[in-house]
Amino acid sequence: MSTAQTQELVRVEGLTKHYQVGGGFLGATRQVLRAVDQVDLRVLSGEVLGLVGESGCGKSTLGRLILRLAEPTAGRVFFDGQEISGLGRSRMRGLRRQMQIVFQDPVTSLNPRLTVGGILAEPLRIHRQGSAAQIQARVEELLHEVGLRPEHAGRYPHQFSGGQRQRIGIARALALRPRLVVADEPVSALDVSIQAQVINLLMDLKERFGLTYLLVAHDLSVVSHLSDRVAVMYLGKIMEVIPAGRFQTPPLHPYTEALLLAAPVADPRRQMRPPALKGDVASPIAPPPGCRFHTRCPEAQEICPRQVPELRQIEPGHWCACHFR
Amino acid sequence: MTGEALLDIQDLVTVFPGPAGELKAVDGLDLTVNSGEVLGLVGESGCGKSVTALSVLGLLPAPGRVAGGRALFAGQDLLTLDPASLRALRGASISMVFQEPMTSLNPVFSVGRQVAELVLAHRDVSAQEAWRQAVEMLGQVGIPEPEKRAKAYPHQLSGGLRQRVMIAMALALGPRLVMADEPTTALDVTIQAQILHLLRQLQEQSGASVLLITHNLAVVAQMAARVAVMYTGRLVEQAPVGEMFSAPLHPYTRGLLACLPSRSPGRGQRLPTIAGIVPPLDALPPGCAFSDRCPERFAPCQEEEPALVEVAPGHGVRCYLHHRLSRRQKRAAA
Ligand SMILES: Nc1ncnc2c1ncn2[C@@H]1O[C@H](COP(=O)(O)OP(=O)(O)OP(=O)(O)O)[C@@H](O)[C@H]1O
Ligand SMILES: Nc1ncnc2c1ncn2[C@@H]1O[C@H](COP(=O)(O)OP(=O)(O)O)[C@@H](O)[C@H]1O
Ligand code: SF4
Ligand code: SF4
Ligand SMILES: [Mg+2]
Ligand SMILES: [Mg+2]
Repeated sequence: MSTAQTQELVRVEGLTKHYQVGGGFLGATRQVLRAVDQVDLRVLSGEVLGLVGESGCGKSTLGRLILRLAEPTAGRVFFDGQEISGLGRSRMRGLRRQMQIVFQDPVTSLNPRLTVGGILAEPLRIHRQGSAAQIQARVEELLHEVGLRPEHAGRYPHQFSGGQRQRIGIARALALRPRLVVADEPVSALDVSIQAQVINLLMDLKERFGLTYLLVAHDLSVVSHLSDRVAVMYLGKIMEVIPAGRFQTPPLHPYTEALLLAAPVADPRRQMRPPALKGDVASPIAPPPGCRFHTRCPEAQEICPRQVPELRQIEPGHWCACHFR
Repeated sequence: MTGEALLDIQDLVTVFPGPAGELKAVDGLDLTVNSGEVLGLVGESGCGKSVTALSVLGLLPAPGRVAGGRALFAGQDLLTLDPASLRALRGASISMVFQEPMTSLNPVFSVGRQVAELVLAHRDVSAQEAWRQAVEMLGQVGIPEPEKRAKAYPHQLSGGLRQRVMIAMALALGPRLVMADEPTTALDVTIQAQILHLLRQLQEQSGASVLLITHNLAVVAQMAARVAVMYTGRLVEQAPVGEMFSAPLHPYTRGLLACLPSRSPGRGQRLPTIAGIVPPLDALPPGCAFSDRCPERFAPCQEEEPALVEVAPGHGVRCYLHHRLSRRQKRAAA
């Protein structure tokens, strides 16, 4: 791996996002939903950091906090060594260009009233990237980069297939030549054959433009194919960070182990195993005390509900939050 | 154990009106579900999997219309059965599990009541007894504290628990055939594993047949004994599950399996892809419906549509490449 890999592009410390839920005029008590709770994490320059975990565990919220599309309740975010948590609008604007997002749903994430040319030109105009002619040229270049044709600029999103719409979403994210792309379930809504095309595109673009990805995905085979390192979340907390190339080896954390065991394998010779985890994810409103996973953990001991396990480095680059690993 | 045909779909054609004439969402489908087996029906979105199931069950939404074919269930043609008899079969002998349980459960009744009403409608029991049976069934599908949960409304349950309720309802009356359309697609992997395991266990205990519809090839690999692959409303290949994954023959099936990241030779490598996209039903290429994307297309492919030909016991393929192969094999054997 190149030396650039070891430099951090993003660092978050104690990052926390609590939402107030419930309440309203009927006087029901307002409760705190802990979407992201005390997360420490680094994204290295030039890497793909995969982020996995079950629905609602806080993956998208963490991505949005890093991009400052949501304001944290507590904690700090550093981008390229600079703290961005408290930056004002104008200072943030310069940085915005360097960090972009690709969404899961290519249908709802594109403005249906704009042509594709308009969608791609919008960020260029907002950030004053040259004359009208220059913007037009850049739009054509972007279409080419994501495998679409120049004449597509005049069409509307509904005139494209799901895979093509995802290419448009990716082109929009690339318009300002960002360094960091948060890809939030970028291929989850696509059919397998189209998913493979978009996965290849994401890899090509990363190579060509030296991008760094935070890749949120629930399909472990997609994550392990694309990622250098993988972070595993559960109920707002990071449970494990697995170093490059180690995702397929037995993980350390009981939750990661259960996730891997639960994923069906496209090989009929592999017997289906009885499910490793019983029950549902607990509620992020009043999450279980101690280790948040203890209500489902097959290995939970007496200490688990009483004490929060710290995320500790077990071996170089391999972090795990469990009392017994 | 698996035996003779329980559901035998023959030459099913289902159409929807299109801007310029009718579109065949299902076009000449032959498909057999044997008694006691799990048959996986796979294909990318829009290829006609759900329409097939809905056609057979008489649940096709207007303006869709079954335009031809037969669907023999234990010898009786479901497509010509009168609505009342079909309704009696549905729920009792044939049942369904859908992807989104929220839309198939009634939001204003407790889940226990919904299971109990199903029992009441088909069995001669008191309301009290129906409730007792409902609670028992909710317990059998692994719902914790079933007496308490029976009183919950659908929105008060998690997606996984709602899907368990759907399975309880599907199995309540001891059906011989369960049609499960993407039953775990909306669920997290850990919950998916629970639901698949449950379906498998209940299927083995009851000996019911399952038509498992999914776009997820891994789910099929783990669950089905046989697999049928659909493309643009047609069956393009069917085979025992082992053969389908170790020796797929149709270029579409081969392409689908090759582009799975889990079957890729190594991390970070380019994945094989299938060129282009599924064509819209009113713009199918001439001849073989896959011919505009097929890397192996040759002269006859766009002249006439190939038939589904059995090239090995239980292994059918709709592709000229294998027709020739099988003819050669036949000659060699002769
Ligand atoms: N604006 C909001 N107001 C209240 N709660 C929210 C809000 N946004 C997210 N949440 C809650 O925060 C938690 C984390 O949500 P988040 O969207 O980050 O999860 P996720 O891991 O991305 O899940 P998924 O895999 O379903 O996309 C969830 O419980 C969610 O319901
Ligand atoms: N209500 C409907 N009206 C018009 N066309 C429909 C309707 N339902 C399905 N279709 C069409 O029928 C084809 C098959 O759809 P479907 O069976 O739902 O696919 P899938 O294999 O994803 O389940 C698609 O081309 C779809 O657009
Ligand atoms: S700390 Fe305890 S409950 Fe948490 S993962 Fe480890 S063993 Fe399981
Ligand atoms: S018939 Fe021809 S075009 Fe169709 S799948 Fe076979 S080789 Fe390809
Ligand atoms: Mg999300
Ligand atoms: Mg469907």
